[in-house]
Amino acid sequence: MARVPLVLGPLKLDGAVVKRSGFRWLCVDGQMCRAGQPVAYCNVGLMNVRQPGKAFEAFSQEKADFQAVLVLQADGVINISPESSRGGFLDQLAQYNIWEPSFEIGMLTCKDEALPAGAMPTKLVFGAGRRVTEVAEIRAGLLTGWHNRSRAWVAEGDRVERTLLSLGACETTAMIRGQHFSYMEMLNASHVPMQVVLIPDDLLIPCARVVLEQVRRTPEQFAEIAADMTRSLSNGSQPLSPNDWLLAGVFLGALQRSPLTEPNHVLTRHSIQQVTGPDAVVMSLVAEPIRIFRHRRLGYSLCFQEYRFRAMGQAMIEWLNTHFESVMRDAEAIRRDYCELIEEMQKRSNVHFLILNVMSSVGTENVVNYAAFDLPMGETLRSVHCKEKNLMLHDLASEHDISIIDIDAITADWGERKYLPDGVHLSGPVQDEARAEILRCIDERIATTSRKVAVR
Amino acid sequence: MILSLSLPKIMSEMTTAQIQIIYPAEGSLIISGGKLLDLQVDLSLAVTHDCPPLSFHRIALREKVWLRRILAPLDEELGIGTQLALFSTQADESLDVAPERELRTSIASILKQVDPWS
Repeated sequence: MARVPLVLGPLKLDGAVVKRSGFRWLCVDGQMCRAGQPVAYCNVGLMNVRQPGKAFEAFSQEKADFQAVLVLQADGVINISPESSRGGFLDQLAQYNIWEPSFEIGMLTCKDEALPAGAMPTKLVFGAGRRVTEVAEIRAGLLTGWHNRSRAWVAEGDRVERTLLSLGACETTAMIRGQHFSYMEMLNASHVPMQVVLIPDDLLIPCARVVLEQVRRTPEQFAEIAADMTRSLSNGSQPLSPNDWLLAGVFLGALQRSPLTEPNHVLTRHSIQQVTGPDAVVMSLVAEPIRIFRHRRLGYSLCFQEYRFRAMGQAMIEWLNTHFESVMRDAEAIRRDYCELIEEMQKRSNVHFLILNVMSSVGTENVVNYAAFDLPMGETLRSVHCKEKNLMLHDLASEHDISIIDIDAITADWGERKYLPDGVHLSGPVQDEARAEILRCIDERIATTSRKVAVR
Repeated sequence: MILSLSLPKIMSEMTTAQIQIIYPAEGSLIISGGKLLDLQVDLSLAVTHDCPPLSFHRIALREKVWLRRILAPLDEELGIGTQLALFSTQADESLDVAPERELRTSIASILKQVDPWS
C-alpha cells in the first residue's frame, strides 16, 4: 500500500494572493473513500495585490461564497491532519491562511497502482455562488446559500474546456447539482475539465420568452422597468410588506441579468480564464407553463410558479393584477418562443440547446372514454398536453439543431409511480440517466462540429 | 341498484381533496363516458415542499347511471373515502337501501388555471 500526502498543490493567480480558510471535512478520520468523492473543502479569498482593499475583479460578485473542494482521484483511506482545521469561524473565513502548494491536510492510504506516478491524489474543484443579496450569508456547507447563480468547475489542466449552463426548474436544478448539491456527479462524469453553471428559478422562471427578453433587454429598457416598478408599487393602495419588498427585489434583479450572455471567470491551478458564454444550455419544458404575465405598458414578461402567489402580499398581487395581463400559451406558442431564442443566440454564439421533455403519462389515469374531456384535449387533459409539448420539441428539432433529453422515455423505463411520482421531481436514477444523456449529447454535438470544421 | 362514489386516493401523498364543480344536476342521467366532477388536490396540505402543490382531476363515468343525491359540499377539504354521491341504475329506485357497490369511474389529470387574483 502507498501512503500519499494530501497536499493542496499549485494555485497561482497573477495580481492576487490566494488565501483560504481551514478545511471542513466531508469524511471522518480513517474512512475508506472512493475516487470522485469530495473529501474536504475550504473557503477561498483572493487578495488583490495591485489594488489593495479592493475585491479581485474576476470573482468580486462571488467573493463571499467561493470555495475550493478536494476530490479524491483514487480509492483509499483518509487520515486527517489536525493542522487542516482550527474549527469554528476559522474554517469559514478565508483571510487567515495562505494557499501553500505543499501544505498537507492529511494522508491517503491506497493501493500502490491506484495513482499513476507523480499524480496528485486529489482533483481541485472550485465552487462559487453569487448571492441574491450580500446579507444572505449561509456558510453552512459546500455551496450553500441563496444564490442567483452558482457554479462549479474542475481546476486541473490548463483550461476549462466546456461550460454547461442550466436554466433552472425543479428537475434541472436537482439533476445538475446532484445528490449533495455540489455538482460532483456532473463534473466527475465529464471526461474533459468542465464548468457547470446553474441559474435557479427563484423567483423568475427562465422560460424561453423570459430568457429571450433578458438577452435583448438594453440597460435603458431595464432602467424604465425599474422606475416603473418602483413607482407602481409605491403608488398602490396597499402597503408593501417586508416580504413584498423582497420579492420585488428578486424580480428586479433577475430582470436585470441575462444568463445566456453574461460572462464569468474560472480559476485553474495555473491561470485565470474568461468564459464569454456557455457552450451548451439546458432548458426544460417544465419551465414552460401555460400562463405567463406580460406588462401592459412596457411589454416585458414575468413567469413564475403560480403557487408563489401564496407568498405574495396584497400589494404585490395588486401590482400584478393592475399592470400585467395573462398570456396563455399552447405548444405552438412555446415553439415560437424557443425558435426566436435559438435564432437570437445563433447571431451571437455557437451555443447548443438541450431541452428536457416531460413525463407524458399519468400513472393514476384510467381513461377508457374521452367523451368527458372538452376539445381541444391538449387544453384539458394533462397527459395530452404533455404529449403535444413533447411532439413540439421534435418539430423544433427538425428546424433547429437542438438535443432533446427524453425524460419521458427514461422515466417510462424506470417506472413513473416510483421514480417520478409527481411528474416533475426526478429520482436519483432518473437524474443519473438524464445527466449521462446530457453529456453524451454535448460530446456528440462537439464531435460533429469539429468534423464540420475539419471538412471545411 | 344503488351505487355510491367515495373520494378515491388519487396519489400517494394525497389526504384530502376539494370538489370544484359537479357537472350534472341531481336527477340527471349520465351515460358511460360522461363527466361527473372535477377535484383539486392540494399537496401543500400534506407535504412540506410546495412544488407543485395543486393538481386537478376529473372523474368520469364508466357506466350509465342516474345521479340521485350529492352528499358532499363544493370547495371544502374532504378526506379520502368520504362519500360524495349516490347513484342508481333506475331513475326511481329508493335510496333507503345501502349501496351495493362503488360506481365504476375513470380518473384523469386535467389542466386547470386557477384565477390568480382570487
